[in-house]
Amino acid sequence: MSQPTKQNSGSGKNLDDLFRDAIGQQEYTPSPRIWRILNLKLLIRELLHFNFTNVPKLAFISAGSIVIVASLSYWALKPNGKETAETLRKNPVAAVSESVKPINNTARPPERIIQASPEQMKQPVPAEGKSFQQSNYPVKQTVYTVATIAAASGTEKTVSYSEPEPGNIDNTAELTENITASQEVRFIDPLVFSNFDLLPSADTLRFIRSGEVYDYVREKMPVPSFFSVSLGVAPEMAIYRSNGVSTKEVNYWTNAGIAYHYSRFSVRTGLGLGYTYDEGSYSIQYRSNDSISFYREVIGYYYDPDNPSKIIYITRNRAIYDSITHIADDRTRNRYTYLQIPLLFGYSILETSKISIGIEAGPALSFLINEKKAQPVIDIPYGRLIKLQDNTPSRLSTNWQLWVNLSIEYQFSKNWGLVINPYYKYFLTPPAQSSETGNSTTQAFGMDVGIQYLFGGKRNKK
Amino acid sequence: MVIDEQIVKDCIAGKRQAQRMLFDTFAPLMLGVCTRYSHDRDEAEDILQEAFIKVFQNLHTFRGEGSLAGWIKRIIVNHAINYINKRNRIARHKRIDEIRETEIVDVNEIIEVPDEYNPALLLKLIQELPAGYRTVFNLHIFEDFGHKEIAETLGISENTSKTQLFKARRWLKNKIEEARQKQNSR
Repeated sequence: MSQPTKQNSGSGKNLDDLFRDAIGQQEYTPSPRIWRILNLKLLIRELLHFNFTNVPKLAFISAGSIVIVASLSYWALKPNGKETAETLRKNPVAAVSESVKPINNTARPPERIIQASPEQMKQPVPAEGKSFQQSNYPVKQTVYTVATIAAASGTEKTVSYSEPEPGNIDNTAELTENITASQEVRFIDPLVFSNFDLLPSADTLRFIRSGEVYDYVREKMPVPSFFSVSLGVAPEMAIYRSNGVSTKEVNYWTNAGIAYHYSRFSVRTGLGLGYTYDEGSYSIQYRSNDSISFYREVIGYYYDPDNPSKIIYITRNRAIYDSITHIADDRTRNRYTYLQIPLLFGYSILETSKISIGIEAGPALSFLINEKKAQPVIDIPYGRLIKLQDNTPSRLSTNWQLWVNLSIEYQFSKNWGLVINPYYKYFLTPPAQSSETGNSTTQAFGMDVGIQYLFGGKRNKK
Repeated sequence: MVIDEQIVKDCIAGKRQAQRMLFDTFAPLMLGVCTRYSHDRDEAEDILQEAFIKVFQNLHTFRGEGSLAGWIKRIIVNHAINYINKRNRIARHKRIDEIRETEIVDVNEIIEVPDEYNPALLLKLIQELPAGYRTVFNLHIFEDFGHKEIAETLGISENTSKTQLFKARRWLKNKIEEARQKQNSR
């Protein structure tokens, strides 16, 4: 506070003027924290009353950049074949004998028969990390296959194969194979696979080179699925808006939850015990006798000794009272306890070995299980109570909310993790109703912080 | 204290730079107003900060018919009164009880005081006034409210307003006298 230095001068003045002149135009420098808080509150208010006209260009640019970066990151990190692993399996000789037929059978449609050139047969390079086992199958100079594959990674290609039976019976069938990794087939030829066949199982790819038979088998890894339990506490700011007037209250929640995770999806439920309070509003109408004026009552008189023609009256002040109706407000503090049951469906956007980030959304139902209302203080020693009106909005026994969570998990051991869930609630039904009509909305923001235990631990997670 | 129309428009559009400019322009004077209605600096800053939210929320209703400073000051004063009423939850009808008169007073009494007191002392005295006295005194002396207007604003009778003002004046006069005596005895 800047120190006022102005001194009044003069011999004396009216008290009102003294104050008016001295501090009527006083200025003080506000502390910087006022603008900081004000700035934050304005920002929150803008977010609550979001419309595209009040968003600065910088925010648009930032949001757009985030979306682009997130999209690129997702594209770069998306699980490309991570859920499966492909291994080369030794092919039993018996199977070779049975499945590898003289495939230059004339019964096969000519357009689906491609002859491999001798160069294509010469030096195939094994895939990285793979090893082939030689079989004793006799070397053939000419090998036919039944299809070609454009081996662009990630493309889907229909592959035909045929296993002609003796007697020119054509058992042509259609299979669909999603080729997700080009490196697995590039050792033959990126464009023309002159010597491969698909077994009846879509997950097995058979290569034949120089009479050797290799089965390329796709092994599916189990989809991670596990349960988790969590315990947390959440301070929450609820904002009630009715007829353009906002009131805020702080709630405190203790939440226990159980979730089932399947791959990147999850479903969560649990119990939350919440404590909240509001202000009871009472209007107290009473009547009392108040002094409204006075008069001077003559209680005696005498003649002025110096001037006998003059009468001096002896008076005393007498009050005039009137009955006046007063309306006084009283505010009390009411306490409420809620039990809430959410049902949230989640999807994990980002998962690493330590951290996962996801979103959850779903409905929640809250029950009012306890209510303690304080009585107003009525202290009217000289008055008469006429009316006591309770203007406090009445609490409803149940209310529905729509939740949106941002779920952030940090795994600090195999089974244990820290969870931080900033969340937003929109009340589909209001928690309280007042006698005043009009539009009212209730929203809440909170931050649930707690611990989580994974049954099965990270080994079940990707 | 010049804020042009464009800055007001920018404030309404939510441009933070303009809002900051408006705040910087008027906050010092308005903090002086808040200080008179509150009992300490922290409370005054709380009032100022909350009132400026209302200023920005309602700036679109300002029609430019009067001065912007006067319009903002009215919001600040209204908010200060609401704030004080809210803080003193049960004080409101206590305050009415407090002023019940058992003696006759001349509510229009003019009190003469020496004027050698500095503003800091006078402000401190106002802040030490009971909330009810302080509010009526401020409205009457600094905002030029009549008793009828004060009665409507505070929801009290005109007589109560007059009595509160009288008691505030008397209280302040006594305190000024005490301060002078202390100063003379040193």
